[in-house]
Amino acid sequence: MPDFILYVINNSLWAKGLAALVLLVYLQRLATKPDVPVLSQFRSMAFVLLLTDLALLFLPTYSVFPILQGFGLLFFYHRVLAVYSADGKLPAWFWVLSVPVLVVTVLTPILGWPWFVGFLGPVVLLGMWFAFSQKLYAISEFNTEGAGVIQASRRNLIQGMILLHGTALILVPWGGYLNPFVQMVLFPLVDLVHTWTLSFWERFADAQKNRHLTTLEKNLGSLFEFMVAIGNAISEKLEMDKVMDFVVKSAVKATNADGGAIFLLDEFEDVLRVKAVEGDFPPPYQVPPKVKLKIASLTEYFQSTPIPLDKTIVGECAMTRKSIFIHDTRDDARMSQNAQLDQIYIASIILTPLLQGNKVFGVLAVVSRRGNYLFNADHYSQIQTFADYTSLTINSLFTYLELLEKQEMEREVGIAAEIQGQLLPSKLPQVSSISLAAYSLPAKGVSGDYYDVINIRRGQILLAVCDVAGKGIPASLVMVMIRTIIHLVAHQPGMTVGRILDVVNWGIAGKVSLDRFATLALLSYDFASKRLEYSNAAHHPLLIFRAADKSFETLDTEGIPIGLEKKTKYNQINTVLQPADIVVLYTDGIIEAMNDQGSQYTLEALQKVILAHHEFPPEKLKRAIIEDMNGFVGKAKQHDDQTFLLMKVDG
Amino acid sequence: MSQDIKELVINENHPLFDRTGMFYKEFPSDFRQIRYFTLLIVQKAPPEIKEINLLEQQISEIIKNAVKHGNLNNPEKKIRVWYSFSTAHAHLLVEDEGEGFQGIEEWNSFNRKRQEAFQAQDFEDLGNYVSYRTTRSDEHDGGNAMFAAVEYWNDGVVFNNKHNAVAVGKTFPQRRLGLEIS
Amino acid sequence: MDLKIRKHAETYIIDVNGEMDLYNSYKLKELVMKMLEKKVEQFVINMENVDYIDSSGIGALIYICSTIKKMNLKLIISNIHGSVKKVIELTKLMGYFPIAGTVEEAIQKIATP
Repeated sequence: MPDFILYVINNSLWAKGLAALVLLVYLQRLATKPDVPVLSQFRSMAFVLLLTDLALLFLPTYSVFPILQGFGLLFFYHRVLAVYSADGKLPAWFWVLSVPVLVVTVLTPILGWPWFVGFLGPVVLLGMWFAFSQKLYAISEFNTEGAGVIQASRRNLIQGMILLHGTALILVPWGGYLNPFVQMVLFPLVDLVHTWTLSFWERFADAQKNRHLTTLEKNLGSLFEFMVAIGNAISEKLEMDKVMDFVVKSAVKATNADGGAIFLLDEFEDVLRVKAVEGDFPPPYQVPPKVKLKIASLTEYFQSTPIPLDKTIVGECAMTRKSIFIHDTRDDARMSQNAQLDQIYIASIILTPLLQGNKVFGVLAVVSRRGNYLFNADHYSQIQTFADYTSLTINSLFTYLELLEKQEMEREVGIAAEIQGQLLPSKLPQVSSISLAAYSLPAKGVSGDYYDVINIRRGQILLAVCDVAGKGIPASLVMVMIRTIIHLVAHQPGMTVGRILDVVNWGIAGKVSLDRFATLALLSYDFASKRLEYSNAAHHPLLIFRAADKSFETLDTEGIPIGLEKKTKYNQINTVLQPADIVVLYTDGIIEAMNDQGSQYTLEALQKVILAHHEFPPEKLKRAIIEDMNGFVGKAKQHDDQTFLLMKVDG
Repeated sequence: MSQDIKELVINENHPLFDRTGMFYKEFPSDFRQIRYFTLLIVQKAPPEIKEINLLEQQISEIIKNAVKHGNLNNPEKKIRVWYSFSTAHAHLLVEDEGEGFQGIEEWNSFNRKRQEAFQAQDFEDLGNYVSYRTTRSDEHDGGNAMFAAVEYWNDGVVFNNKHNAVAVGKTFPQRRLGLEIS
Repeated sequence: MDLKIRKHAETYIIDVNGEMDLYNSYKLKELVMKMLEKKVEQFVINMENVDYIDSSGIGALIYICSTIKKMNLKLIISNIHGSVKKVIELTKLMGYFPIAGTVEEAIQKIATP
């Protein structure tokens, strides 16, 4: 069609075609990155661009399509922003303004109001782009993960928009929309500028993802060193003070803070006392006027004055049991005295409660006293992890010290059981669409089993069962490590069960000397799609009861136990569950439960019980299994921990 | 003070081959998991007989022999392990799918010479007998595991006729709970 | 297991930390061989932080010991304790290895001809 080609050339549409090609190539590249979060929005944006490009080729209404294109793109830009921003919704005024303007724009060529299209349409459009750029600056800096991406890329976005709209504002009044030179510059410019801004977004999303991974690795690295040192400290010299000094030192080092402190709740009164301080930690509250504003007096005052639970930010943290992250003390009225007075100057502070179950027993805090070094989301998550592990360890330590006053030989056994007891979920989450039941009975003195149920996010749940080789305190500490790592990473986006196993294994392998191996099975279940993913490191296969044909099936993946080789990669397998299906995770102690004759309970017996009682809800089924197993075992002694988790799909 | 010179015995009917009352596990012959399998077995033992980690170490040698020399580190091949523990005894039986330990008599005579050198306190000569090597030993094999094993497993180290299963046992001295003073 | 080297006059002290088992004992062997290449002549292997050793570890020690003996150089193994000591006793090698109770004793023994 030589006419068509001439038409394209004469109307400078070839330049637009080239630009569109660039966009297509870019999209192809993006397609190779399935984990860029807003890829689908980018694609829709590009689709809008290309569609309007195509329309330009065939339809003479040059003026309408750029406007439609502008609105379409604005819509998708808002959608991208919504993915990253806290509220995730498009602003209401967007609809209020754009819908009528669009309607009029489309009708104009038909009804013949050229002046409107030539003037008001673009003005409204420009105004909305301006409002959009304002919104870019309104994104709060630390309350969403993606906000960092917005911050990093907004300058480029603004530049792109100024370039595009500025050029349009200069050229269009000068030559009019129908001027071929104007078209040759503007049309490809649209595609190119949007491709450019998209690529910035993509690049920053990428960098953030990588930073995330490096931070995760660093986090795990420092967490691990921390765990090993605590483990050693516990086995060598059980001094609570030493352990806490170590914790606060590590927290300060990991966040590059200027100072850190641990406050512990007094045993009798409702006050918090300073137990450990590292570096430069000024009192994070209003100091009474009688105290001289000199370092020595301030330090003495701070370390000797108990803080009532209803006073100051420290008390608030303990009372509400919620972490407090003040990125910039100038923005928060609670810290006004610390923001203003040099001697107690604090630029940024993170406080996090130390919890045992749902009781708070202390607070861990770190401060920055440099105005140009404010804590960010990564520091915050690191402190959370430290606090998590510290709480568990300090509790274990307290328990150990208590039990130390009692019997000798039995202590190792009792402590391990205590430690394990604190790790297990105190109650199973109540969620719609599935029911859960759990059973765990340690054998005399041995505590090698750990199980957990974690709500990863709305509509997705993670089940874990773990059997640590070796028993006693070292094995319990390994269990603490495993649990902490699982809790640390399970919520991260993109963490499949296979990846979680990789990370747990990586964290455990290689360094600790004793009793560091374990079998671990992880199952994640999505309520909406009923999709189940299972990965396991040398654990028993997952047992599934299919209600439809009352049959059993097993899911298994290959893998050596965790803790053996650092770089092991674990696979996963998935399936879809149907209503009334039952899923069972169990440990050796169930299948190998022995009676006086030395015979084992076996998987077949377990299946038989489940088949017979499959209509029961999990709690009742659990009791049926326990009864059947105990009936079989009789008076014979239990020789291994017995643990199983049941999950039944409602319906 | 000459002691009995310990030796490896071949006797399928030895009481140590009686498997009644023993736990059983089988493992793939994966070299990387040798210490892990050992941990799984030894966690059934009461703490009194573990002697920190001596029991674990002695068991790991037997498992290693079966995995490495018996089954040539082939994960498709299995080792079968029977084990039972009490505060007074440790009993272990390991069977592999290999051709069997070929040089039992040679080993015994090597060990005899080693013992003689030791009893004579002749450390120069002892130097010739510190490591028992066959054509299948590699640089990572110490060649000394069985010397410690025959001393440690005081109820005996016994092979079956095919030499691919070994049964070992140990009796632990019982501590008196203290003297009563009347 | 990790290995650290320090020096006291002309004597090199290797501090072994962790377990010497079938997976890592070769590292000690390799280290000593490297040091021999660098013409080190006096060695103390400090086993204070070793609480587990198996036949591969003993094999490594035997190899190191006999190599150094053949080269007419000096080696002393110090701070053997716990189950490590028991295993060496079971293997009847207490008289074979040159042993000292502490690093200081070992250094002294090496110094006196």
